Amino acid sequence: MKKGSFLLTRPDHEPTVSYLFAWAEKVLKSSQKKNIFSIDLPGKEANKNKFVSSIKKFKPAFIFLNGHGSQNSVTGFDNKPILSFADNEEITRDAVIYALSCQSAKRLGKSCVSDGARSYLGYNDDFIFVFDENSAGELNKDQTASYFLDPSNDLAESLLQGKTSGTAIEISQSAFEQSIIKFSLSDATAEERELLPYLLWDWQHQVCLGDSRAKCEFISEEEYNKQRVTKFYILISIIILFIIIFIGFRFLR
Amino acid sequence: MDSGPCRNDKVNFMAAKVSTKEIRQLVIERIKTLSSGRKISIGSEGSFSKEELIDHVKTGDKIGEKIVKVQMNYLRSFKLGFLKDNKK
Repeated sequence: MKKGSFLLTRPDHEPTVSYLFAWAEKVLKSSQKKNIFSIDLPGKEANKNKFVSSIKKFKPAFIFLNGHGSQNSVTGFDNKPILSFADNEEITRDAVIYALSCQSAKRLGKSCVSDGARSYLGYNDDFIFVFDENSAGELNKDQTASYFLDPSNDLAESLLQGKTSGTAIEISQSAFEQSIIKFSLSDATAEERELLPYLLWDWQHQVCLGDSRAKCEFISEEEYNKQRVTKFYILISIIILFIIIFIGFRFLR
Repeated sequence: MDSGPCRNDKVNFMAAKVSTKEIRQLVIERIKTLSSGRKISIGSEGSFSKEELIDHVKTGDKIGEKIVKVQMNYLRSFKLGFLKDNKK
């Protein structure tokens, strides 16, 4: 298995994606703590051009998409598609993808796997979450949203820890289950019970497509830079060799 | 006035014939209990307060139908059994 980087997209142009933006930052911080070479495409940088060029340049082992979605696409800033069915899904070849977006596992995810993605984790219907309006400004501290977005982060964190796609989704499912069971008990508060339909919905529609044994190995920034320097020296050596051969030929004639 | 794709349908809900209108009313009653200050984000459709959701359910539009589907899925899960037995 080839080592790769970690790439995440997180637009922030409206309230729903701003929540995903804030929660994905926790995953980013965690990846940086693990010294994983991480490529962050926040806000306006979450666009198709940057996304495609970053994948080509940094060859991520794990792609974490945050944004709106449909059966056919996952979007970035301003709801513009960055990954679409029958368009650019082949760029996900050899990667593990987790899309925190609506419905994309229904068609796009299957297509990514057919085109060589190792696994595609996501949702085959809408991802619904409840949040507290009064948490504006401190979105990542919203206790209500945490019941939905923490299980999602557990999935991404598990992949960053090198766990398999199957294990990562089990961990996430288990986090959803814990809340569902807890809020179903008689001592649950009304505020907790009212979250149940939405927790159950997300839990039911979270899926893993492709190889459930697929896991990621990550490269550090130092390793990446070292590889670039090595490639540079190899290129210089080849050029010098060609020059020597060329001069030698001229000298012999 | 009722509207939407299954306006006059009768559905088998927990072994009883219940009209779409009754189902919508049931869902509206459930939504009314949502704590004030909370909003529900439904993907690219947007984020909605309970008052907005109730309007959508009454109208029977795409968002209203989605919320009915989510609430009915939850209620049906009691019949089917939670968790492992209920994973689609």
